[in-house]
Amino acid sequence: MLAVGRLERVDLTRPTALLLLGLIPLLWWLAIPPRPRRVMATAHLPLWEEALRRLRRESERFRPLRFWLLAGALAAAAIGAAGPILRGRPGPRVVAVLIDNSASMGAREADGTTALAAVQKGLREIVPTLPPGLTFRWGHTGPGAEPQVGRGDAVDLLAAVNALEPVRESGFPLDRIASALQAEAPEMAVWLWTDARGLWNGPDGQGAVELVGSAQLPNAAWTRVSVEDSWPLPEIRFEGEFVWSGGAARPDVTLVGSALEVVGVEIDEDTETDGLARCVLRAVRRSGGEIQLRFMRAGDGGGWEDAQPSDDGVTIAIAPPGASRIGIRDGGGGIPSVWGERAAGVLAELTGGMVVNASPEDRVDLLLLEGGLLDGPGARSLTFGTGFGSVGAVSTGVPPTVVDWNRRHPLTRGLDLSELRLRGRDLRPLPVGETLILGDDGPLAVAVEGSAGRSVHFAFELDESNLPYLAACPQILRRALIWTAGVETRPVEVQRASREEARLVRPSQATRRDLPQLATPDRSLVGLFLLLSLGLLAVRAHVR
Amino acid sequence: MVRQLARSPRRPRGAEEESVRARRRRASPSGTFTGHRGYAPGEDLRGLDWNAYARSGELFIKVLHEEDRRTLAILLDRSPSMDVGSPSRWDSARRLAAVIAGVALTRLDGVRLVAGNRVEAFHAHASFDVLFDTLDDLAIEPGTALDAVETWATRGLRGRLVWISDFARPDEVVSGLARLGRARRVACGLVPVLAEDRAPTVDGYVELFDPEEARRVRLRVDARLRAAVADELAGLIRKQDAAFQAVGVPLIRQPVPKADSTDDPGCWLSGGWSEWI
Repeated sequence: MLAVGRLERVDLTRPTALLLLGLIPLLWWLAIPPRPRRVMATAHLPLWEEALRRLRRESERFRPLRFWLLAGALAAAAIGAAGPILRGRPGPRVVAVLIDNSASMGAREADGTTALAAVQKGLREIVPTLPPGLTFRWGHTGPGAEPQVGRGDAVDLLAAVNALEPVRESGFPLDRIASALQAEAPEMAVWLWTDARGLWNGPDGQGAVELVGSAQLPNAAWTRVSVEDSWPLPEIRFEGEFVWSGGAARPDVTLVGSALEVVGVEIDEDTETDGLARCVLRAVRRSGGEIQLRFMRAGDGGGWEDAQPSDDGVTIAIAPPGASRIGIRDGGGGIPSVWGERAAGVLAELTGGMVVNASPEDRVDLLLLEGGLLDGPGARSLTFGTGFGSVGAVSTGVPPTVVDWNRRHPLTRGLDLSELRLRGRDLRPLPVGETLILGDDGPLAVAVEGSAGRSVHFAFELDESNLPYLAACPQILRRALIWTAGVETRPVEVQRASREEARLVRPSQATRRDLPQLATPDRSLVGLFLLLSLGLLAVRAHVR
Repeated sequence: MVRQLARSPRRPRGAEEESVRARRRRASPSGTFTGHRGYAPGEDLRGLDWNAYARSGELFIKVLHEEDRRTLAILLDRSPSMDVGSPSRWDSARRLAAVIAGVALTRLDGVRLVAGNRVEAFHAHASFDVLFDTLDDLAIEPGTALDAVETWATRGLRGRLVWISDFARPDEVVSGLARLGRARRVACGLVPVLAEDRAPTVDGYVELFDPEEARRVRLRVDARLRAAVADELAGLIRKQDAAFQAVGVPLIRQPVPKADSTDDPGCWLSGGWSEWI
């Protein structure tokens, strides 16, 4: 039976169907047996009744119980036809589940479990107990620190959660996102699952919070690594910052790999910040390849083991040694440009290589050409005012003006080309590539990166501009040599864990907040009343 | 009709002699004294035992052995269950009582009519008109078939006995017959048989009314139900026969003539009861 309090939330979608209740008087009238036309007195009425019993028949009379059962069946059918609905509990119908899958969530505790596994287990246990009919939206950090979102029902949510793995990059400030999201959409229940390491905006935040993985664990983690490569010179300098916690001694740092020879390690602890240290490693390049910057136990040089090994190492790709062959070729007139030769000489001096007069069959590390013609933009070439194919120079009438330059490309990033001026009026058509320098009539320099290789092309010759006089010129030459070679020293995997998140011993300041009362779906009572109606009819069939 | 019956040539053998003897004994009652019984209004005052009256202050009639043999008591069931049928069983019972009493008055010394708690005495050759008026005055009253038996037993009446009833309640039949059997009376049961006592005569949607219990039942009568009721009626007849046979009392079923032939004397004599009287 329905409680009275619940009956208050019963609504009828088609109340006009209750007019069917008006048929009950008609049923009553029909239930009264008609008056027989013949009345006969008999002394044997008990015998008649006994005969009726033998034949399992009933006399014709008004049967109150049968009538009320029929009236009840009609009433139940009428109410069912009126579309009764038991209103569900008001509350949020959408649950936004924000899952912290940052690196700290993957830290293994003593029993081998992780906080993320606790999240998966908790959601698997709790979600099936939530009211049906809810819509779930979920968000977490994906590869490359990109946010990943999804929506669906409970099954979709659990499928996504079960496939979740901790990311090595730092996550988002989920506590702030959850709080802002809850304030923005109060009709939605925001549910944050986190270990609260590296984030927590205080007790005034909004939304429900489930805390997992509160164990204090030892950990060391790189928080920042930068590489200063002197390529093509052999010196490489690494500068890193790491935190450690958990009571263990500060780890030492080492380079793992045969591409380098470490010539010096300096580690400075930050005395003002607990568990923070900065290190500087100087090394000399032996060959190209990958090396790894790792922690090691201080003193004995053994391996460093902690709860979160994923943030213990940084892999870095090392560019191969220099000593290149800089090829030059005479231009169309057969006379090499003065500036071109000088540029080649500067590059050879920088890399310890040599300048060669390159024929098309010679292998060179960089073909530097000023003026002249080429069949096409060849690989590992740097050209100034060189035409391609049979296309000649195009006169602009007035010297073009430099409008802007690419500030993100490795060739021009950080350079100042605002003083670049062109004197010549003839510009050579450039191949299709990424614009490095933009003039008022189009690109003045492009970087081409195709299947054949990389090349850099300027639409003007060096002596037609003041580029040789700019401080950026040697940088452009050197970067062109590196970029066209396709090798560079760079961190392959960058650990960007925050200090707070990496410190697995700091007790969480967060407090758990319960999920609000979620909405329950409306329940149609049509089937119930129709079933009741059929049940009453079934009982009536057995009542004499 | 009764006078016609009294003159009927089908009178029993020796009836004439018995009639003469009856008149003679009525003028001079005699016989072996067998006891007293209570006086009923209308009885011959010459039968009173004045000595007993002097001793007790109550009126008693001296009962002689010869008187037992020469009188007839007619026990008439006037319970509501008799008020059924068309013509009704009650009317038929009164006609039958009139015929029996009329015949008895011409052959025996007297007749006592017992209906419910009422007792009327008629002497030989009493006026038939008085008998008929008495029967006309009788009406259906609440009660059972046993009331007449009870009155008969209470009054200590003697002589032959005819119990006219429908005997519709076998338990009452058994009880009444047991009472008669203890009195060792020469008795006879007589049932005015209606057509509906054999098989139902109705069909379709009817209302049956039980006048004794004042109950009404509406039902639809079809062939199956008629057959089932006929079986029940046959069972009732078997019970009635068995009850009477158990106490050695004959049960005579007198068919009730149709409404248009109730005045035919032959219809009332066909049951064979006249041979028994």
